[in-house]
Amino acid sequence: MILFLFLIFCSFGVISSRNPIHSILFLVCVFLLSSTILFCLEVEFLGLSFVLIYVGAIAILFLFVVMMLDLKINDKLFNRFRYDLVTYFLIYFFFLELALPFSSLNIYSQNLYCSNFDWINWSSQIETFSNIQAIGQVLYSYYFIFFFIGGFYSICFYNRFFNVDFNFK
Amino acid sequence: MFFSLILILKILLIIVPLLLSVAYFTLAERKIMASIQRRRGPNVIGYLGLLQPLADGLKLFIKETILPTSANIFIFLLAPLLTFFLSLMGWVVIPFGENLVVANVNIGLLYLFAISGLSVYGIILSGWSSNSKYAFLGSLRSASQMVSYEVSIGFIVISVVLCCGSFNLSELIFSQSRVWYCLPLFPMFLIFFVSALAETNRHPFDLPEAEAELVSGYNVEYSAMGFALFFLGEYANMLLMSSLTSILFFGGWLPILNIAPFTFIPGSVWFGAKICIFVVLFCWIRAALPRYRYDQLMSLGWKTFLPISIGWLFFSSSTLICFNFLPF
Repeated sequence: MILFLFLIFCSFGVISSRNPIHSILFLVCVFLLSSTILFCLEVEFLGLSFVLIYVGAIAILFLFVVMMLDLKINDKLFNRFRYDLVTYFLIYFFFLELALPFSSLNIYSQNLYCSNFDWINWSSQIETFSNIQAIGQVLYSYYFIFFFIGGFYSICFYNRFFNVDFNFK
Repeated sequence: MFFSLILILKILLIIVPLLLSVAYFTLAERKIMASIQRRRGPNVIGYLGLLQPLADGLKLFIKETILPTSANIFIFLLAPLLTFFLSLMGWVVIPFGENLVVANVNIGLLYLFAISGLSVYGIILSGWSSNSKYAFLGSLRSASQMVSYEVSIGFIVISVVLCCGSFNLSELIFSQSRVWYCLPLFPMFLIFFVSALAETNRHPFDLPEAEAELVSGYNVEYSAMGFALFFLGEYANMLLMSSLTSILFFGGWLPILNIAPFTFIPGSVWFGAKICIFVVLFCWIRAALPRYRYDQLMSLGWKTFLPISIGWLFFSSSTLICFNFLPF
Protein backbone atom coordinates (compact mmCIF):
# COMPACT_ATOMS: atom_id res chain seq x y z
CA MET A 1 0.00 0.00 0.00
CA ILE A 2 2.80 2.38 0.94
CA LEU A 3 4.52 1.37 -2.29
CA PHE A 4 1.43 2.33 -4.26
CA LEU A 5 1.23 5.68 -2.51
CA PHE A 6 4.88 6.36 -3.33
CA LEU A 7 4.24 5.31 -6.91
CA ILE A 8 1.33 7.69 -7.31
CA PHE A 9 3.34 10.48 -5.72
CA CYS A 10 6.24 9.86 -8.09
CA SER A 11 4.02 9.75 -11.14
CA PHE A 12 2.54 13.09 -10.14
CA GLY A 13 6.13 14.28 -9.85
CA VAL A 14 6.77 13.21 -13.43
CA ILE A 15 4.09 15.46 -14.86
CA SER A 16 4.31 18.35 -12.44
CA SER A 17 8.02 19.08 -12.05
CA ARG A 18 9.38 22.01 -14.02
CA ASN A 19 12.84 20.64 -14.66
CA PRO A 20 12.69 17.89 -17.33
CA ILE A 21 15.58 16.03 -15.75
CA HIS A 22 13.78 15.91 -12.42
CA SER A 23 10.72 14.55 -14.14
CA ILE A 24 12.80 11.82 -15.77
CA LEU A 25 14.28 10.94 -12.41
CA PHE A 26 10.75 10.67 -11.05
CA LEU A 27 9.95 8.41 -13.99
CA VAL A 28 12.89 6.19 -13.04
CA CYS A 29 11.50 6.08 -9.51
CA VAL A 30 8.14 5.00 -10.91
CA PHE A 31 9.76 2.18 -12.86
CA LEU A 32 11.76 1.04 -9.85
CA LEU A 33 8.72 1.10 -7.58
CA SER A 34 6.62 -0.85 -10.05
CA SER A 35 9.37 -3.45 -10.36
CA THR A 36 9.43 -3.61 -6.56
CA ILE A 37 5.71 -4.31 -6.63
CA LEU A 38 6.37 -7.09 -9.13
CA PHE A 39 9.00 -8.46 -6.76
CA CYS A 40 6.48 -8.42 -3.93
CA LEU A 41 4.13 -10.41 -6.16
CA GLU A 42 6.99 -12.93 -6.64
CA VAL A 43 7.31 -12.26 -10.36
CA GLU A 44 11.06 -11.77 -10.11
CA PHE A 45 11.83 -12.28 -13.77
CA LEU A 46 9.40 -9.63 -14.97
CA GLY A 47 10.54 -7.26 -12.24
CA LEU A 48 14.17 -7.63 -13.21
CA SER A 49 13.42 -7.24 -16.88
CA PHE A 50 11.50 -4.07 -16.01
CA VAL A 51 14.62 -2.71 -14.34
CA LEU A 52 16.82 -3.89 -17.21
CA ILE A 53 14.77 -2.56 -20.08
CA TYR A 54 12.99 0.51 -18.79
CA VAL A 55 15.45 1.81 -16.23
CA GLY A 56 18.65 0.54 -17.77
CA ALA A 57 17.98 1.41 -21.38
CA ILE A 58 14.96 3.56 -22.13
CA ALA A 59 15.18 6.01 -19.26
CA ILE A 60 18.88 6.51 -19.93
CA LEU A 61 18.07 7.31 -23.54
CA PHE A 62 15.51 9.87 -22.38
CA LEU A 63 18.02 11.32 -19.97
CA PHE A 64 20.61 11.61 -22.72
CA VAL A 65 18.22 13.34 -25.07
CA VAL A 66 17.04 15.79 -22.46
CA MET A 67 20.57 16.60 -21.34
CA MET A 68 21.81 17.08 -24.88
CA LEU A 69 18.90 19.25 -25.97
CA ASP A 70 19.34 21.54 -22.97
CA LEU A 71 15.67 22.50 -22.82
CA LYS A 72 14.84 25.88 -21.42
CA ILE A 73 11.23 25.89 -20.44
CA ASN A 74 9.39 29.15 -20.54
CA ASP A 75 6.65 29.17 -17.94
CA LYS A 76 4.22 31.15 -20.04
CA LEU A 77 4.48 28.79 -22.98
CA PHE A 78 4.32 25.78 -20.74
CA ASN A 79 0.62 25.14 -20.75
CA ARG A 80 0.04 22.05 -18.70
CA PHE A 81 -3.58 21.60 -19.68
CA ARG A 82 -3.20 21.84 -23.41
CA TYR A 83 -3.92 18.17 -23.84
CA ASP A 84 -7.04 18.18 -21.72
CA LEU A 85 -9.35 16.27 -24.00
CA VAL A 86 -6.85 13.60 -24.90
CA THR A 87 -6.03 13.06 -21.25
CA TYR A 88 -9.64 12.60 -20.28
CA PHE A 89 -10.16 10.17 -23.12
CA LEU A 90 -7.14 8.17 -22.08
CA ILE A 91 -8.24 8.11 -18.45
CA TYR A 92 -11.71 7.03 -19.51
CA PHE A 93 -10.39 4.16 -21.61
CA PHE A 94 -8.00 3.12 -18.89
CA PHE A 95 -10.78 2.81 -16.35
CA LEU A 96 -12.91 1.05 -18.93
CA GLU A 97 -10.16 -1.51 -19.38
CA LEU A 98 -9.87 -1.91 -15.64
CA ALA A 99 -13.60 -2.42 -15.32
CA LEU A 100 -13.90 -4.93 -18.16
CA PRO A 101 -12.71 -8.07 -16.37
CA PHE A 102 -15.30 -7.48 -13.65
CA SER A 103 -18.17 -6.80 -15.99
CA SER A 104 -20.33 -9.41 -17.66
CA LEU A 105 -19.15 -8.31 -21.09
CA ASN A 106 -15.98 -10.36 -20.98
CA ILE A 107 -14.04 -9.87 -24.21
CA TYR A 108 -10.92 -11.42 -22.75
CA SER A 109 -12.30 -14.90 -22.93
CA GLN A 110 -10.05 -17.83 -23.62
CA ASN A 111 -11.51 -18.52 -27.08
CA LEU A 112 -10.41 -15.23 -28.56
CA TYR A 113 -6.95 -15.03 -27.18
CA CYS A 114 -5.72 -18.60 -27.31
CA SER A 115 -5.07 -20.72 -30.31
CA ASN A 116 -7.00 -23.91 -30.39
CA PHE A 117 -4.75 -26.76 -29.49
CA ASP A 118 -5.31 -28.77 -26.38
CA TRP A 119 -2.00 -29.81 -25.07
CA ILE A 120 -1.22 -30.27 -21.43
CA ASN A 121 2.32 -30.64 -20.30
CA TRP A 122 1.83 -33.36 -17.72
CA SER A 123 5.27 -32.96 -16.27
CA SER A 124 4.36 -29.40 -15.38
CA GLN A 125 1.60 -30.71 -13.16
CA ILE A 126 4.15 -32.55 -11.07
CA GLU A 127 7.28 -30.43 -11.12
CA THR A 128 7.59 -26.92 -9.82
CA PHE A 129 8.62 -24.34 -12.35
CA SER A 130 10.73 -21.27 -12.09
CA ASN A 131 9.39 -18.00 -13.42
CA ILE A 132 11.30 -18.02 -16.68
CA GLN A 133 10.32 -21.59 -17.51
CA ALA A 134 6.67 -20.85 -16.88
CA ILE A 135 6.72 -17.77 -19.09
CA GLY A 136 8.57 -19.65 -21.82
CA GLN A 137 6.14 -22.58 -21.73
CA VAL A 138 3.17 -20.30 -22.24
CA LEU A 139 4.71 -17.70 -24.51
CA TYR A 140 6.14 -20.09 -27.08
CA SER A 141 3.17 -22.44 -27.27
CA TYR A 142 -0.23 -20.92 -26.50
CA TYR A 143 0.54 -17.30 -27.24
CA PHE A 144 3.01 -17.99 -30.02
CA ILE A 145 1.09 -16.03 -32.66
CA PHE A 146 0.84 -12.93 -30.50
CA PHE A 147 4.51 -13.18 -29.63
CA PHE A 148 5.33 -13.51 -33.32
CA ILE A 149 3.19 -10.54 -34.31
CA GLY A 150 4.73 -8.41 -31.56
CA GLY A 151 8.24 -9.33 -32.63
CA PHE A 152 7.46 -8.68 -36.29
CA TYR A 153 5.95 -5.31 -35.46
CA SER A 154 8.97 -4.24 -33.46
CA ILE A 155 11.32 -5.38 -36.24
CA CYS A 156 9.37 -3.29 -38.77
CA PHE A 157 9.46 -0.34 -36.41
CA TYR A 158 13.21 -0.56 -35.92
CA ASN A 159 13.81 -0.95 -39.64
CA ARG A 160 11.94 2.24 -40.25
CA PHE A 161 13.72 3.96 -37.41
CA PHE A 162 17.16 3.02 -38.66
CA ASN A 163 16.40 3.80 -42.28
CA VAL A 164 15.66 7.33 -41.28
CA ASP A 165 18.68 7.77 -39.09
CA PHE A 166 21.51 6.10 -40.93
CA ASN A 167 23.53 8.18 -43.29
CA PHE A 168 25.80 5.91 -45.24
CA LYS A 169 29.09 7.59 -45.99
CA MET B 1 15.47 -10.80 16.10
CA PHE B 2 17.96 -13.64 15.92
CA PHE B 3 17.33 -14.05 12.19
CA SER B 4 17.92 -10.37 11.43
CA LEU B 5 21.09 -10.44 13.55
CA ILE B 6 22.39 -13.31 11.46
CA LEU B 7 21.46 -11.46 8.28
CA ILE B 8 23.33 -8.33 9.39
CA LEU B 9 26.32 -10.49 10.28
CA LYS B 10 26.24 -12.10 6.84
CA ILE B 11 26.14 -8.71 5.14
CA LEU B 12 29.01 -7.43 7.26
CA LEU B 13 30.98 -10.58 6.50
CA ILE B 14 30.80 -9.67 2.84
CA ILE B 15 31.19 -5.91 3.03
CA VAL B 16 34.17 -5.68 5.39
CA PRO B 17 36.47 -8.05 3.46
CA LEU B 18 35.26 -6.46 0.24
CA LEU B 19 36.27 -2.97 1.38
CA LEU B 20 39.59 -4.31 2.66
CA SER B 21 40.24 -5.99 -0.67
CA VAL B 22 39.32 -2.77 -2.50
CA ALA B 23 41.85 -0.91 -0.34
CA TYR B 24 44.55 -3.44 -1.07
CA PHE B 25 43.56 -3.52 -4.74
CA THR B 26 44.65 0.12 -4.97
CA LEU B 27 47.94 -0.72 -3.27
CA ALA B 28 48.46 -3.73 -5.55
CA GLU B 29 47.76 -1.60 -8.58
CA ARG B 30 50.34 0.97 -7.56
CA LYS B 31 52.91 -1.68 -6.70
CA ILE B 32 52.42 -3.63 -9.92
CA MET B 33 52.57 -0.54 -12.07
CA ALA B 34 55.66 0.58 -10.21
CA SER B 35 57.42 -2.70 -10.80
CA ILE B 36 56.47 -2.62 -14.49
CA GLN B 37 57.96 0.85 -14.74
CA ARG B 38 60.98 -0.21 -12.63
CA ARG B 39 60.14 1.94 -9.61
CA ARG B 40 59.60 1.01 -5.99
CA GLY B 41 56.05 2.25 -5.56
CA PRO B 42 54.64 3.18 -2.14
CA ASN B 43 57.05 1.85 0.47
CA VAL B 44 57.17 4.38 3.29
CA ILE B 45 54.08 3.89 5.41
CA GLY B 46 54.09 0.59 7.24
CA TYR B 47 56.14 -2.45 6.31
CA LEU B 48 56.69 -2.39 2.51
CA GLY B 49 54.04 0.34 2.30
CA LEU B 50 51.30 -2.00 3.45
CA LEU B 51 49.52 0.72 5.43
CA GLN B 52 49.44 3.10 2.46
CA PRO B 53 45.73 2.55 1.58
CA LEU B 54 44.73 3.29 5.18
CA ALA B 55 46.70 6.51 5.07
CA ASP B 56 45.05 7.44 1.78
CA GLY B 57 41.64 6.76 3.25
CA LEU B 58 42.44 8.90 6.29
CA LYS B 59 43.58 11.73 4.03
CA LEU B 60 40.33 11.60 2.05
CA PHE B 61 38.32 11.40 5.27
CA ILE B 62 39.75 14.50 6.91
CA LYS B 63 39.67 16.67 3.80
CA GLU B 64 37.03 19.34 3.48
CA THR B 65 33.83 18.49 1.63
CA ILE B 66 33.24 21.18 -0.96
CA LEU B 67 29.76 21.71 -2.36
CA PRO B 68 29.83 23.84 -5.53
CA THR B 69 27.41 26.76 -5.28
CA SER B 70 25.89 26.15 -8.70
CA ALA B 71 25.39 22.44 -8.10
CA ASN B 72 22.11 20.71 -7.53
CA ILE B 73 22.97 19.72 -3.97
CA PHE B 74 20.55 16.84 -3.43
CA ILE B 75 21.51 14.98 -6.60
CA PHE B 76 25.14 15.96 -6.11
CA LEU B 77 25.16 14.16 -2.77
CA LEU B 78 22.97 11.30 -3.97
CA ALA B 79 25.19 10.26 -6.89
CA PRO B 80 28.27 8.93 -5.02
CA LEU B 81 26.05 7.14 -2.51
CA LEU B 82 24.18 5.48 -5.39
CA THR B 83 27.39 4.37 -7.09
CA PHE B 84 28.82 2.96 -3.88
CA PHE B 85 25.68 1.10 -2.81
CA LEU B 86 25.13 -0.37 -6.25
CA SER B 87 28.69 -1.63 -6.38
CA LEU B 88 28.12 -3.36 -3.03
CA MET B 89 24.69 -4.73 -3.98
CA GLY B 90 26.02 -6.94 -6.75
CA TRP B 91 28.03 -9.06 -4.33
CA VAL B 92 24.91 -10.54 -2.78
CA VAL B 93 24.54 -13.17 -5.50
CA ILE B 94 28.22 -14.04 -5.97
CA PRO B 95 28.97 -17.56 -4.68
CA PHE B 96 32.33 -17.71 -2.91
CA GLY B 97 32.27 -21.46 -2.58
CA GLU B 98 29.89 -24.36 -2.59
CA ASN B 99 26.81 -23.05 -0.72
CA LEU B 100 28.78 -19.97 0.36
CA VAL B 101 26.37 -17.35 -0.96
CA VAL B 102 24.06 -14.84 0.71
CA ALA B 103 21.19 -15.10 -1.77
CA ASN B 104 21.09 -18.11 -4.06
CA VAL B 105 18.72 -16.46 -6.56
CA ASN B 106 17.75 -18.40 -9.64
CA ILE B 107 18.10 -15.33 -11.84
CA GLY B 108 21.39 -14.17 -10.38
CA LEU B 109 22.97 -13.23 -13.69
CA LEU B 110 20.01 -11.05 -14.66
CA TYR B 111 20.21 -9.41 -11.24
CA LEU B 112 23.89 -8.60 -11.76
CA PHE B 113 23.02 -7.22 -15.17
CA ALA B 114 20.29 -4.99 -13.79
CA ILE B 115 22.63 -3.70 -11.09
CA SER B 116 25.31 -2.82 -13.61
CA GLY B 117 22.66 -1.10 -15.72
CA LEU B 118 21.62 0.99 -12.73
CA SER B 119 25.16 2.00 -11.88
CA VAL B 120 25.20 4.19 -14.98
CA TYR B 121 22.83 6.51 -13.12
CA GLY B 122 25.36 7.36 -10.42
CA ILE B 123 27.80 8.58 -13.04
CA ILE B 124 25.32 10.45 -15.20
CA LEU B 125 23.73 12.16 -12.19
CA SER B 126 27.07 13.22 -10.76
CA GLY B 127 28.11 14.72 -14.07
CA TRP B 128 24.87 16.62 -14.54
CA SER B 129 24.41 17.84 -11.00
CA SER B 130 27.89 19.28 -10.54
CA ASN B 131 27.06 21.79 -13.29
CA SER B 132 30.47 21.88 -14.91
CA LYS B 133 31.37 21.28 -18.54
CA TYR B 134 34.16 18.83 -17.88
CA ALA B 135 32.19 16.73 -15.46
CA PHE B 136 29.18 16.70 -17.78
CA LEU B 137 31.18 15.65 -20.85
CA GLY B 138 32.98 12.99 -18.85
CA SER B 139 29.76 11.57 -17.50
CA LEU B 140 28.12 11.49 -20.93
CA ARG B 141 31.14 9.71 -22.36
CA SER B 142 31.33 7.19 -19.62
CA ALA B 143 27.58 6.51 -19.59
CA SER B 144 27.39 5.96 -23.34
CA GLN B 145 30.43 3.71 -23.16
CA MET B 146 28.93 1.61 -20.38
CA VAL B 147 25.58 1.32 -22.14
CA SER B 148 27.08 0.28 -25.46
CA TYR B 149 29.40 -2.35 -24.03
CA GLU B 150 26.63 -3.72 -21.85
CA VAL B 151 24.86 -4.89 -24.99
CA SER B 152 27.69 -7.14 -26.16
CA ILE B 153 28.21 -8.40 -22.61
CA GLY B 154 24.55 -9.35 -22.58
CA PHE B 155 24.87 -11.43 -25.74
CA ILE B 156 27.98 -13.19 -24.40
CA VAL B 157 26.20 -13.95 -21.16
CA ILE B 158 23.27 -15.39 -23.10
CA SER B 159 25.55 -17.73 -25.04
CA VAL B 160 27.10 -18.90 -21.76
CA VAL B 161 23.65 -19.38 -20.25
CA LEU B 162 22.62 -21.47 -23.26
CA CYS B 163 25.50 -23.83 -22.55
CA CYS B 164 24.57 -24.10 -18.89
CA GLY B 165 20.79 -23.84 -18.89
CA SER B 166 20.39 -21.65 -15.86
CA PHE B 167 20.77 -18.05 -14.71
CA ASN B 168 21.79 -19.26 -11.29
CA LEU B 169 25.48 -18.56 -10.66
CA SER B 170 26.02 -21.67 -8.53
CA GLU B 171 24.50 -23.90 -11.18
CA LEU B 172 26.65 -22.14 -13.78
CA ILE B 173 29.72 -23.19 -11.82
CA PHE B 174 28.45 -26.74 -11.25
CA SER B 175 27.93 -27.12 -14.98
CA GLN B 176 31.62 -26.34 -15.52
CA SER B 177 32.85 -29.28 -13.48
CA ARG B 178 33.77 -31.19 -16.66
CA VAL B 179 35.35 -28.34 -18.57
CA TRP B 180 35.61 -24.63 -17.86
CA TYR B 181 33.78 -22.48 -20.38
CA CYS B 182 36.98 -20.61 -21.28
CA LEU B 183 37.96 -23.57 -23.48
CA PRO B 184 34.89 -24.03 -25.71
CA LEU B 185 33.96 -20.36 -25.59
CA PHE B 186 37.46 -18.91 -25.76
CA PRO B 187 36.74 -16.00 -28.16
CA MET B 188 33.77 -15.04 -26.02
CA PHE B 189 36.02 -14.97 -22.98
CA LEU B 190 38.39 -12.54 -24.71
CA ILE B 191 35.54 -10.28 -25.80
CA PHE B 192 33.95 -10.45 -22.37
CA PHE B 193 37.15 -9.39 -20.66
CA VAL B 194 37.72 -6.48 -23.02
CA SER B 195 34.09 -5.42 -22.61
CA ALA B 196 34.53 -5.66 -18.86
CA LEU B 197 37.47 -3.26 -19.16
CA ALA B 198 35.26 -0.85 -21.08
CA GLU B 199 32.33 -1.35 -18.74
CA THR B 200 34.37 -0.40 -15.69
CA ASN B 201 35.95 2.58 -17.53
CA ARG B 202 39.44 1.15 -17.22
CA HIS B 203 42.47 1.49 -19.45
CA PRO B 204 42.74 1.38 -22.43
CA PHE B 205 39.15 2.62 -22.47
CA ASP B 206 39.38 5.19 -19.69
CA LEU B 207 38.24 8.07 -21.87
CA PRO B 208 35.89 9.44 -19.23
CA GLU B 209 38.91 10.50 -17.22
CA ALA B 210 41.25 11.41 -20.03
CA GLU B 211 43.48 13.72 -18.01
CA ALA B 212 44.60 15.81 -20.93
CA GLU B 213 41.10 16.60 -22.18
CA LEU B 214 38.66 16.35 -19.34
CA VAL B 215 40.72 16.93 -16.17
CA SER B 216 39.35 13.82 -14.47
CA GLY B 217 35.92 13.09 -15.86
CA TYR B 218 32.63 12.97 -14.00
CA ASN B 219 34.12 13.36 -10.53
CA VAL B 220 36.05 16.60 -10.98
CA GLU B 221 33.89 18.57 -8.59
CA TYR B 222 33.96 16.01 -5.82
CA SER B 223 36.36 16.25 -2.94
CA ALA B 224 36.84 14.24 0.25
CA MET B 225 34.29 11.50 0.96
CA GLY B 226 32.27 11.99 -2.21
CA PHE B 227 35.36 11.23 -4.26
CA ALA B 228 36.26 8.38 -1.92
CA LEU B 229 32.86 6.77 -2.46
CA PHE B 230 33.24 7.02 -6.24
CA PHE B 231 36.71 5.57 -5.98
CA LEU B 232 35.60 2.67 -3.79
CA GLY B 233 32.62 2.02 -6.02
CA GLU B 234 34.77 1.93 -9.14
CA TYR B 235 37.27 -0.51 -7.67
CA ALA B 236 34.53 -2.69 -6.17
CA ASN B 237 32.96 -2.81 -9.63
CA MET B 238 36.27 -3.91 -11.07
CA LEU B 239 36.51 -6.70 -8.52
CA LEU B 240 32.91 -7.67 -9.30
CA MET B 241 33.64 -7.85 -13.01
CA SER B 242 36.75 -9.96 -12.47
CA SER B 243 34.85 -12.31 -10.19
CA LEU B 244 32.07 -12.51 -12.79
CA THR B 245 34.65 -13.39 -15.45
CA SER B 246 36.06 -16.14 -13.26
CA ILE B 247 32.56 -17.46 -12.55
CA LEU B 248 31.41 -17.42 -16.17
CA PHE B 249 34.54 -18.75 -17.81
CA PHE B 250 36.94 -20.12 -15.18
CA GLY B 251 34.68 -22.24 -13.04
CA GLY B 252 34.44 -20.06 -9.93
CA TRP B 253 35.46 -22.10 -6.92
CA LEU B 254 36.33 -25.27 -8.89
CA PRO B 255 39.96 -26.46 -8.75
CA ILE B 256 41.99 -26.75 -11.94
CA LEU B 257 41.85 -30.53 -11.95
CA ASN B 258 39.59 -32.63 -9.82
CA ILE B 259 42.50 -34.70 -8.45
CA ALA B 260 43.82 -35.11 -4.91
CA PRO B 261 46.39 -32.33 -4.36
CA PHE B 262 44.15 -29.69 -5.93
CA THR B 263 40.99 -30.69 -4.10
CA PHE B 264 42.64 -30.21 -0.67
CA ILE B 265 42.66 -26.46 -1.23
CA PRO B 266 39.26 -24.98 -0.26
CA GLY B 267 37.07 -23.60 -3.04
CA SER B 268 37.02 -20.01 -1.83
CA VAL B 269 40.81 -19.91 -2.04
CA TRP B 270 40.62 -21.04 -5.66
CA PHE B 271 38.02 -18.36 -6.33
CA GLY B 272 40.19 -15.68 -4.71
CA ALA B 273 43.21 -16.79 -6.71
CA LYS B 274 41.24 -16.54 -9.95
CA ILE B 275 40.02 -13.05 -9.04
CA CYS B 276 43.62 -12.07 -8.25
CA ILE B 277 44.75 -13.17 -11.70
CA PHE B 278 42.21 -10.86 -13.32
CA VAL B 279 43.09 -8.00 -10.96
CA VAL B 280 46.74 -8.31 -11.98
CA LEU B 281 45.62 -8.37 -15.61
CA PHE B 282 43.64 -5.16 -15.07
CA CYS B 283 46.75 -3.43 -13.66
CA TRP B 284 49.05 -4.87 -16.30
CA ILE B 285 46.81 -3.60 -19.11
CA ARG B 286 46.70 -0.17 -17.49
CA ALA B 287 50.49 0.01 -17.44
CA ALA B 288 51.07 -1.45 -20.88
CA LEU B 289 48.49 -0.08 -23.30
CA PRO B 290 47.86 3.42 -24.67
CA ARG B 291 44.42 4.99 -24.59
CA TYR B 292 41.89 4.48 -27.40
CA ARG B 293 40.36 7.35 -29.33
CA TYR B 294 36.67 7.83 -28.62
CA ASP B 295 35.34 6.95 -32.07
CA GLN B 296 37.61 3.89 -32.13
CA LEU B 297 36.12 2.81 -28.86
CA MET B 298 32.57 3.18 -30.11
CA SER B 299 33.24 1.43 -33.41
CA LEU B 300 34.95 -1.41 -31.55
CA GLY B 301 31.90 -1.80 -29.36
CA TRP B 302 29.12 -1.50 -31.91
CA LYS B 303 30.73 -2.66 -35.16
CA THR B 304 33.06 -5.40 -33.97
CA PHE B 305 32.08 -6.88 -30.62
CA LEU B 306 28.33 -6.74 -31.06
CA PRO B 307 28.23 -8.57 -34.45
CA ILE B 308 30.76 -11.14 -33.27
CA SER B 309 28.86 -11.86 -30.07
CA ILE B 310 25.54 -12.12 -31.91
CA GLY B 311 27.13 -14.43 -34.49
CA TRP B 312 28.63 -16.54 -31.75
CA LEU B 313 25.24 -16.73 -30.06
CA PHE B 314 23.73 -18.12 -33.26
CA PHE B 315 26.68 -20.46 -33.77
CA SER B 316 26.64 -21.87 -30.26
CA SER B 317 22.88 -22.26 -30.13
CA SER B 318 22.78 -24.04 -33.48
CA THR B 319 25.68 -26.29 -32.43
CA LEU B 320 23.88 -27.15 -29.23
CA ILE B 321 20.71 -27.97 -31.12
CA CYS B 322 22.55 -29.97 -33.82
CA PHE B 323 24.32 -32.29 -31.38
CA ASN B 324 21.40 -32.32 -28.98
CA PHE B 325 23.57 -30.83 -26.26
CA LEU B 326 20.94 -28.43 -24.93
CA PRO B 327 20.92 -28.78 -21.17
CA PHE B 328 17.15 -28.42 -20.73
